[in-house]
Amino acid sequence: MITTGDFEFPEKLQKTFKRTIWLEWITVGYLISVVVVMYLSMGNSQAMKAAWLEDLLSLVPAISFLVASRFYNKPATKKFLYGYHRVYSIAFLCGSVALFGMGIFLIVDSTIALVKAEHPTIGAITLFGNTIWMGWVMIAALTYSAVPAVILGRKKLPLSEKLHNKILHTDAQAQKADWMTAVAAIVGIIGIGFGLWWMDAAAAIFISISVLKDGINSLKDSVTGLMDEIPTTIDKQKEEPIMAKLHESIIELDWVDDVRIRLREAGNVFFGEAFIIPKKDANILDNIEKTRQRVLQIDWKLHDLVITVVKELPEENGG
Amino acid sequence: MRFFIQLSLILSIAFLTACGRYPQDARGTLEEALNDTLKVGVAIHEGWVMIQNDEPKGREVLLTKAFAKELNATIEWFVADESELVPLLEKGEIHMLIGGFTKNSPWKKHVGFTNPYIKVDNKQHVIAIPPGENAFLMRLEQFLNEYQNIKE
Repeated sequence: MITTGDFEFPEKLQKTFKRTIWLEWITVGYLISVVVVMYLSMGNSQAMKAAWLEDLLSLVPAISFLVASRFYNKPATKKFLYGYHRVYSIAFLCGSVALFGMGIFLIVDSTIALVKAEHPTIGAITLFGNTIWMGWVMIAALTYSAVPAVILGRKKLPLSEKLHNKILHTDAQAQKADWMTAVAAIVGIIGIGFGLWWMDAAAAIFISISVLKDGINSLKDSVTGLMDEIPTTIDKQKEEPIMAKLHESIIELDWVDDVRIRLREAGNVFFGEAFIIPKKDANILDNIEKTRQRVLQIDWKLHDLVITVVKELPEENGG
Repeated sequence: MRFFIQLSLILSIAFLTACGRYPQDARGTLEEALNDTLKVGVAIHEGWVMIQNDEPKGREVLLTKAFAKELNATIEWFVADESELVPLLEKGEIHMLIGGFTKNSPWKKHVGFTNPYIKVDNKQHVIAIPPGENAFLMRLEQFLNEYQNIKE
């Protein structure tokens, strides 16, 4: 048996990674406080219930990231020859399933509230001897749930690109967009204040749809990732440029006649194989070793590459 | 940044409207009762709501009378079982329901409750209102706060 090598971020990314871990701890602490504050002020608003569940659920990617961060770089063992990089992909899948399920639950729950024409009752709270409408307190809690989230999301988004971490990317994007949920819930509560009971349920449905949409997207991304889809950039917009770079740097070598490459993502790193047709008089053994050392320097994300020499390459197939 | 501007805009509009009557009722219960008739459901609950000589009596009846006085309204009593009165309240056909209800009453999914206004024998007592009648609820809460202060 032969295991794959240990993984460590390049020096300049180690700092980035530490900073990310720290930001995720802040996120978890902050989200717990949001969940508590919102729960205490929730009242009867369906929209706020939806927003609360969404915030509760947004703990999942953050916690998954922190848990996975403890395992991802454990050295490969005799049992796990490819290391533990996939823990990120698994954490990502779990988070997506939770989001997807909650989205469906919320749509059903909010639609029932709308159809049954449930009029949300929001009463008063006595603060320092004044009787204040509870709606204002709810709006304050929702504002607290949105503003720091947007800041955290914006801070984490560039880090997720640097670290090529998809779960972090999903987490950051969800938080960056979190203000929409809060505003929707606030609109719902202000609507209740105008005696427009249906605005609350309508806002709740809007929030549910956004939760479900996030769930579907990340479910799709995590499943295609686990099925060894061709590596993509973090935003899934295009093929990871490393494919082309790798091909180029091998084909230009003087012992190589032709080459084909195969890569797959495991968490934040890539594993792959290169099939090379060597030139006739090449010293194959030395060249393979040299080439391997060389290409692994191209990008830290390329964690392992197996080089094989072949007589001929098959026709390209597939779309 | 745009988000903060939008949010503060929404909030300031809301605060401006708060100068008028805010929150408002979904059905206009407060408008109906004010200077007119307060329709009160009466569900018998020993000590809190009783009928003596065809007249409603008890702590919550006294409280209701004081509230009606503040609204400058006359009271129309609806005496029946809880299970008949709750649907009336749900539809907004009566304005409030007294019957020694407590905070954890199983009816809380169907109707609106005030905050507990008194605690007796470890039970937190509330008054039921039609769901979503938030202006009326606010008025009642304010009244209950003051009423509590007088009693203390």
